[in-house]
Amino acid sequence: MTAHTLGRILLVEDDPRDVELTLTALDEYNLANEVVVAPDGEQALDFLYYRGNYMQRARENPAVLLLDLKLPKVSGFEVLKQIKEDKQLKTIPIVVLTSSREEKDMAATYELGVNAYVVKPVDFHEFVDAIKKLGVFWAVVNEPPPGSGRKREPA
Amino acid sequence: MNPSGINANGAVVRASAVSLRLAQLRGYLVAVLNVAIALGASLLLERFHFRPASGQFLIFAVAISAWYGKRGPALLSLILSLVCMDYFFMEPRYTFSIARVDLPYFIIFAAVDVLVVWFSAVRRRVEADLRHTRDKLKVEVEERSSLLDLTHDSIFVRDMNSVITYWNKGAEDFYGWTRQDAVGKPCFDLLHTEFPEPSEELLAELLKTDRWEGELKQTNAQGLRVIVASRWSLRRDDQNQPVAILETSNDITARKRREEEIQALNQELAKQLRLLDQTHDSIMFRDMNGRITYWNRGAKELYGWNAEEAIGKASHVLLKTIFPAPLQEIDAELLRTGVWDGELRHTKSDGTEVVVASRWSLARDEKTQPIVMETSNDITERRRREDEVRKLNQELTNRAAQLDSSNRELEAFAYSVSHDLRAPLRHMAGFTELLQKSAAASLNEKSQRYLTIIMEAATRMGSLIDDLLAFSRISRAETHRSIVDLDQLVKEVVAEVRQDAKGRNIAWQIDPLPACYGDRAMLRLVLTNLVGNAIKFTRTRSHAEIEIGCTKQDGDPVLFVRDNGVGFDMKYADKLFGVFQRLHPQESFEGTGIGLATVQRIIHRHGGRTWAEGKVDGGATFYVSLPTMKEAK
Repeated sequence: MTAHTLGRILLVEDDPRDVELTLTALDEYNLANEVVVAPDGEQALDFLYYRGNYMQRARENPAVLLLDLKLPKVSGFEVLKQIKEDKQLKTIPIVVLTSSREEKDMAATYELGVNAYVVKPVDFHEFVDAIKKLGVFWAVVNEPPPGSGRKREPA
Repeated sequence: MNPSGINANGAVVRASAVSLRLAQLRGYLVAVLNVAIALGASLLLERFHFRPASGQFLIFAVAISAWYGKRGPALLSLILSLVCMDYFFMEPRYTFSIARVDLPYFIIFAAVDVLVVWFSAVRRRVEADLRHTRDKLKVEVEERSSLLDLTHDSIFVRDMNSVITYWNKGAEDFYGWTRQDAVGKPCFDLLHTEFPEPSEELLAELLKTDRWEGELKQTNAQGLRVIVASRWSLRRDDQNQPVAILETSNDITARKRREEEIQALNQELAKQLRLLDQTHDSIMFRDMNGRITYWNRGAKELYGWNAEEAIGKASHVLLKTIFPAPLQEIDAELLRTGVWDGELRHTKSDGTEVVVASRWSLARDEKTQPIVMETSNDITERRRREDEVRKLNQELTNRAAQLDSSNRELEAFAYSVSHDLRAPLRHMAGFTELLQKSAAASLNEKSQRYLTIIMEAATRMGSLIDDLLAFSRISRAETHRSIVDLDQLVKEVVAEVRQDAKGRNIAWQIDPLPACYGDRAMLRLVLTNLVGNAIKFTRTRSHAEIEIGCTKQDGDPVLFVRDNGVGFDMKYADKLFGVFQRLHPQESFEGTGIGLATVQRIIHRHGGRTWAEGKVDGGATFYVSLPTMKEAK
C-alpha cells in the first residue's frame, strides 16, 4: 500500500463504534485499509483541502465520501454544502450514511446535491450488507471522476 | 280793478242790510197787524153784543206777537193793545181816561199782557240757552268721535237692544261697513257674532261687573270669518240704568291662526316624539349649552332617569360622559360636518357604566338655534363579548404559540431520537453479532441463545422507534389535500399486501367507493394498516373473508374493512386505537401496536371518526368516517 492509494474512501464519522462496525463490514472486501476516517467535519475538510495533518497527502480526491450528518464542529450538512460549492470537489460522490430516517434531512441533503442517502440499519446483518454494497459499488464498480484515487490494480 | 265789482259787492251788502231791516220791520208790522186784527175782531164781536169778551182778543195779539216776534214787536204790541184797550173799551169810551169802575179790569188786563210778554221773553232766553248748550255738546261729541277715529281698534257702541249707535273709523276699516251702513243695525245680526259662552251668562257678567272680555268670532263685510279680542264696557245713566255698551275689538285672526299652526306643529311634533318613543334606541336632544331638551323612552330604559328628571340637565354631567377624543374636537367636527359618530362611556342612574355607539346630528330649531340629536345604542354587551373574544383569541394565540413551541420541541426530540437512540441499538446488535462470531467456538448453546435474544431485542427496539417516529410524523406533517380516488387507492393497497399473503386463501369483496378529499399518502397509510390488520388477524382461518365497503352515518360516508378473523372483545374496543395497545400476545400476532393509533390520528386530522365492532373469534369491522368525502362531490 502506498501513500498514493491511501484514502480512496473518506469516512466522516464521530462515533468510534460505528467506525469499527463500518470498517469491519468493509474489511470483508478488503476495502478497510483504503479508508481514511475523519471524526468531525473540520478534519474532513482539512483532508479535502490538504490542510493540517493532510498537507502531505497525495493530490487526489477520494473515490467516495461516506458522510454522517450529526458531527461535532462542522456538521455533515455544512461539509456537503462546501464540497458541492467547490469546483474542485463537487464531483466527489457523496453518500450520506446516517441514523436519521427524517424526511426533512433527506430532502435537505438531496437539495444540496448528495449522490445517495443510506439509513444505517439497526440489524447488524443488514448493516454489514449495506456497507459492503456501498463500498463495492462506489470504490470498485463505479468509475470515479478523473482526478480521483483509482482502484489499486492487483500487483 | 273793476269798480263795477265793488259796486256790486256794496249792493249785496246793502241788500242784506235792507232784508235784515225788512225782517225787523216785518216783526213790528206783524205786531201792529195782530193788534189791529184783534181790535177789529173785538169791535165786531161788540157790535153783536158780546160785550163781556170785548178787548180780551188783544191779549192773543200780544201773546202771538211775543211768541213769534222779538222783544221790540212784543213791547209794541203790548203798548198798542194797552192804548187800544183804554181808548176803545174803557169807560169813558173813545177817550184815554179810565172810569174808576173799569180801572181794576184795565190793570188786570195790563198785568196779564205784561206776564205774557215776560213769559215769552223767558221762554226765548231758555230756548237760546238750550240751543247754545246743544251746540256746545255737539261740538264736544264730534271732537270725541274724531279722537276715537284715531285709534286702529274697532270701537262701536250699541244700545241695550243691541242696535249700533256709534261706529268708529277702526270699525269701518276692520269690518268693512261705513258708519252710515252700520249705525242703526242690530249688531249681532250684522256681525254674525259667535260667543265663547252662552250669551245669557255673558250678559249677566256684564251687568254685574260692567265689563266683559273675551274672544269672539265675527263675519266682516266680505263674508270672511274673523277672530277678535273684544272688551265690553257698560254705560249707565244718572239713574244707574244701563243704557249702552261700548265694544272695543282687536283683530287677532292672524295671531290665532299662527297659534293654531303652532299647535298643529306641536301636535305633529308630539306625534313624532311619540314615534321616537317607540324605538329602543336612546334618543335625546340637547341645546348648544348641553342642556337636555328631549329624552325618549329608550333613553329612560338605557340610563334609568325619566324625562322629567333628565330634561334641563347638562347631559355630559348627568351621564358622566367619557369621550374618545377631546370634546372640543368632537364639537368642531359636529359643527363642520353636521354629524359625529363614536363610542362613549356613560354612567347610568344606578352607577353602572355602559358603552354606547353614539351618533350626534346637528339640527336647527325654529329660532335657528342649533340643537343636537344624540342617538345611542347600548353596546356594552357587544363590547364585553368582543373583549372576551379578543381575550380568547389572545389565549388561543398564546396556546398556539405554546403548541408551536412544544411541537418544535417534539420535533427536536423526535430528531434526536431518530439520530441518537438508534445508534446504541445498532452497536448492541452489531457487537453482539461480532461477539457471537469470534466466540462461537467457546460458547455453549444457552449462551448462543442469549446472544440471539439480545440481538432480536435490539432489532425490535429499532422497529418500535421507527414506528413511533412515523406516528409522530403524522401529527407534525402538513396534510396535502386533493381529490382521492378511493377505488384506485384500495386496488393499490390490496395489490401490495397480497404480496405478503401469498399462498393464503382469501376471499376479497371490494365494493365501489366514492372519491374523497384528503391527503392521499395518509389515506393510503390508513388503508394499508386496516387491510394489513385484516390479513394478519385472519391468518388462523383456512378460508379468510375480507370486505371493503362504504356505508353512511349521520350523512357522512363511512369506509369499513370487515374480516372473519379472530376478532376482539368489545369490552376492550376503546383500547384498540391507543398507542402501543395490543389485544393479542406478540407470539400470536406480531406488531408494535401503533397501526390503529396511526389510523385514528390520520382520520382525526381529516375531521372524521374511527370505531370498531367485533367479538372474540367472530371477526372485526373497522369503520372510518370521512366528512370531507362530501366535499368531493
